[in-house]
Amino acid sequence: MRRRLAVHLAVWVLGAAVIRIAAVPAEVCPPVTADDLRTAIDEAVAWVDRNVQPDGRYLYGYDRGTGEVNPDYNTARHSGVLAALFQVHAETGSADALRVADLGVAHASKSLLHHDDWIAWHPGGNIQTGANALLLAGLNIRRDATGDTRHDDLMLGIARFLLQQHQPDGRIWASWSPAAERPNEVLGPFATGEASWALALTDRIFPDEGFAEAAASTLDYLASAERSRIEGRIARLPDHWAAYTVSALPDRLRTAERVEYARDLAGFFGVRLRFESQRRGDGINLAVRWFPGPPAGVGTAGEGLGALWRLSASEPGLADLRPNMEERLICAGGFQTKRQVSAAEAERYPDPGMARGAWFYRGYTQMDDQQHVLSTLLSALQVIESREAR
Amino acid sequence: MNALLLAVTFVAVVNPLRTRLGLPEDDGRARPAPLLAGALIAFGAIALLAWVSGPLLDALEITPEYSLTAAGVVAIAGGLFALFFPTPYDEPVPEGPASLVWPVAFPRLFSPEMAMLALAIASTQGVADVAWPTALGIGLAVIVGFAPVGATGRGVLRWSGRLLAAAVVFGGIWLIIEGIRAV
Repeated sequence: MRRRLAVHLAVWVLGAAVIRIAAVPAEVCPPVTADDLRTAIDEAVAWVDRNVQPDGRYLYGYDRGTGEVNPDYNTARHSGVLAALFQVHAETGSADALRVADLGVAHASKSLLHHDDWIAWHPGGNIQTGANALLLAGLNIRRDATGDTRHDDLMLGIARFLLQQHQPDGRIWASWSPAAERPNEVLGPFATGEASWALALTDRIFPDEGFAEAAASTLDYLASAERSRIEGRIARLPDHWAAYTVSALPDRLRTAERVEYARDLAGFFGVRLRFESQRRGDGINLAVRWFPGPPAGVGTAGEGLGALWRLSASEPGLADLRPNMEERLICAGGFQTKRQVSAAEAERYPDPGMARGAWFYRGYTQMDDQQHVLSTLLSALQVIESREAR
Repeated sequence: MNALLLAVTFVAVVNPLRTRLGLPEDDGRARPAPLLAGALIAFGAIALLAWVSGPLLDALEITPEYSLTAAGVVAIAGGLFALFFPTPYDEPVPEGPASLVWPVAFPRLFSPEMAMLALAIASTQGVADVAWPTALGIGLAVIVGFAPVGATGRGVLRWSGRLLAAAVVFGGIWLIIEGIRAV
């Protein structure tokens, strides 16, 4: 019997070790305060500000190991950064964030194409739906925060561009060809959700244009298996832009099915953030969880969950998830704050100004790393402030 | 998990049909003292584990929702094992007080999948939602244990035990999905 007891105990001990290491490593959530988050947000805004180019473009990418700057550029990411900066201004009142975001808007405004009744940012080549969508989303956030209506004509024009890219089944073409004067019938992984969010936001200012209805039909497309089939995906994509969209839809379009989709999205984002909190990037944890994830990717989960958390304040169908959403967001705020390059750390690299305040993945940072983590930190800040206010 | 799923999952994890094949017997019936004492001891151990689930998971830095995922993984592993090995190993039967624990309470009833399930459900739904379905499962194991079983009956138990093992696998998948949807 002793031999059999030893066999069973060995199975228990080995099994527990395997489960602990591979399935449930410790979820580490460093403590974080509202002041910590505000400091981290200011540092990230300062990174964008320090590295903005004379023409209003932002620093695209930087390798801290070699000191090399990535000369590429991506217009959707440009718009994403300025939208995140407008979010910072809206939440914290940061004048720097507003100024640097406005530089990005000015850069885009230099190359607008006016066509029929619509307007689009056209820096050359095909007109990108995603770049225009995030520019429009950013302008919506700016208008809400400042009350400034100076960009209303541009906003209406871009929203009409997005609407003519929109298809009856909810798909949104990812680009438009100036040469052929028609949409390129291709879909992008993110442009669809970006456009639906921008349309839902713009409906608040121009409610008679059908923007929200178009956004809702796109949300249904994103939620359906149809998207997976058409776009050749194995599984439904957890889409943070869809989370923004459902949170921006007017009450009349927030159906039970769309709220159920929001619950699914919250689950995806939650498990993504839990998984991330288990990553230490060293020892045996590195073998089973790999390095701490790319900041942009992790950030999308945080900002998507943040959008759903804000929706949960007024949506009974999400109310039961609210405490867990708060825990996940505070946890994400904690580990992202800790992962940001501090002033002292930055001194170790060839150009400290391009390292300080940024988030890196294995030595490289890109503008969208700052964009998505900023949005996550803002959500975490809102959670902490709302808890302090209770 | 609602009441029906709790009942099905806990009964399937206890698997009274497969358990019956691993009980110490006299003349085709389970020995009463080891069965009753083992059932009580296993229930007590599971209830105790459920009761300390909160502090235990805190100490391990595992959130209750993520423990559902872990419980699901262990349940799937345990269910697959029972599916492919429908007859428990014929454990040696000790004499004296040890026979009250071995092999009924441990390793038959207090299994890894039961321990993880108790931790996960107690931390997310409360100790009561572990206690009653565990009592149901162990109670059924006692009832089935006292039934006389011949050679044909053993074959039936093996195959019906496999069905319950499959239910454990499905229960494990359900737990993982619950863990994800809990945010």
